[in-house]
Amino acid sequence: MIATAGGAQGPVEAGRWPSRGPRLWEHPDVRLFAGRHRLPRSVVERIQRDRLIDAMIAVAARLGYQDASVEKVITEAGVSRRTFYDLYSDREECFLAAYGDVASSLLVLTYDAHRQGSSPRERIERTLAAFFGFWADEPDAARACMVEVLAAGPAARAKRARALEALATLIEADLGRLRGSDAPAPLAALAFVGAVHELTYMRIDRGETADLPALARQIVACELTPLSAGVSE
Amino acid sequence: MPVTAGKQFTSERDIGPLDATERERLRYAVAAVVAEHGYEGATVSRVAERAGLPPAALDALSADMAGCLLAAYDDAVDHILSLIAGASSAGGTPQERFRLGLGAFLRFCVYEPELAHMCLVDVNAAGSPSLARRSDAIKRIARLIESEAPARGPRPAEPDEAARADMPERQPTLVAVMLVGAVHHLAGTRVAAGQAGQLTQLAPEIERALAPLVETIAAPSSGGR
Repeated sequence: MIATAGGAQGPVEAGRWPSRGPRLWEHPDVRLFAGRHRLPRSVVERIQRDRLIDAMIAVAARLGYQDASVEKVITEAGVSRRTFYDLYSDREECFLAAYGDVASSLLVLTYDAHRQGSSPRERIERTLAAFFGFWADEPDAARACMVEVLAAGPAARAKRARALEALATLIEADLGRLRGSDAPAPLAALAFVGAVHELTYMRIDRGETADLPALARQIVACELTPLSAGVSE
Repeated sequence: MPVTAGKQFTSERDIGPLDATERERLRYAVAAVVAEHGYEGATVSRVAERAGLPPAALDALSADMAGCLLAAYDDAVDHILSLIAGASSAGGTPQERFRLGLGAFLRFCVYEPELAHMCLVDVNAAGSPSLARRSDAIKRIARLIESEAPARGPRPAEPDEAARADMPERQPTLVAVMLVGAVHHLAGTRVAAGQAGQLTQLAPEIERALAPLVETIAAPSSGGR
């Protein structure tokens, strides 16, 4: 039995990126690129799309976005140039798709983690743990989507801005409560996300992605402990 | 700020390092050209024309637009650092020094929106070298904030570029990076949206948002964590 990753046009599956399991083409029963196969076209397209997205992430992480040419990505993916252009108009569109997959998975994980907290502080702590754990598990995605995305053009930076805004929205009510108000604190939440982002960026840029989970405790000590003092939840 | 006419150059001008006035003209010209044409549409010849410099004058600095952008960015970061340091030095407490430095940076964004856009948004377009420059700038500002945080004492001078190259890099503290990251994100979001003008009005709210971090870095026993 082959567990498919979903339809070619379907939404991104929750958690596909960090805990995706084996890809379809890694299954011993799949002989997609050597000899005949009877897989539906939609499944084949999905496999090719996933291979290209994995390849784009790997190449952008290894060489930087500017050197992540279509040639290098298709070589990494083991697919033809024609297949690439059947799916994407150019490398930017491929990178945007890769970023979208990663960001969607990150947001699903963080929103799930946030829901499990029973107090404002615990919800933020769990969100931070999920955020850092995600990147630590996927160092290539971390470099491509936290560092190289900045050099990937205005559309990529706009996607990045929307992802960070979604994270800020997630915690703005909790930060408001920790600051003694029933009203959300959107500006404080944006500042918090910016602070966490910069720390994360710096660690990834230094090649210390595996150490990211330890940051959560330090951030809580700096940012949340002063706020928590004397605030009932 | 408009680029002033300044002295005129001929195409036979000796090629050499730009002086301070020329670099300032270059800084504003790069920001204006990128604002008008986007990074993809910006060219060295457009920058030179806007700056009132012959293209040959820029060859000594850089042969391409990426080099021009990075040179302008480096100059602008030096300018921002001097604005922050100058403003914060008037403060008596760490909290006051941070508030004054923050105010200086926000006023820069309001009154120099094209330069702010170049520094916070456009610089990333030049690829890996620009990302490295961005990181370096964040660290320099974070170290400046650290140096302003302890109880009042003589502030060590910011080492010049040559001296920095010979020194092992000292990583800024976690809290200082968080503060710079928070301000960078808040300002960058507004500047990118063409709303830089809101930043001075938002200053009190931004100060409140950052208060826990400022208190942490100002605490005598924290060591900046």
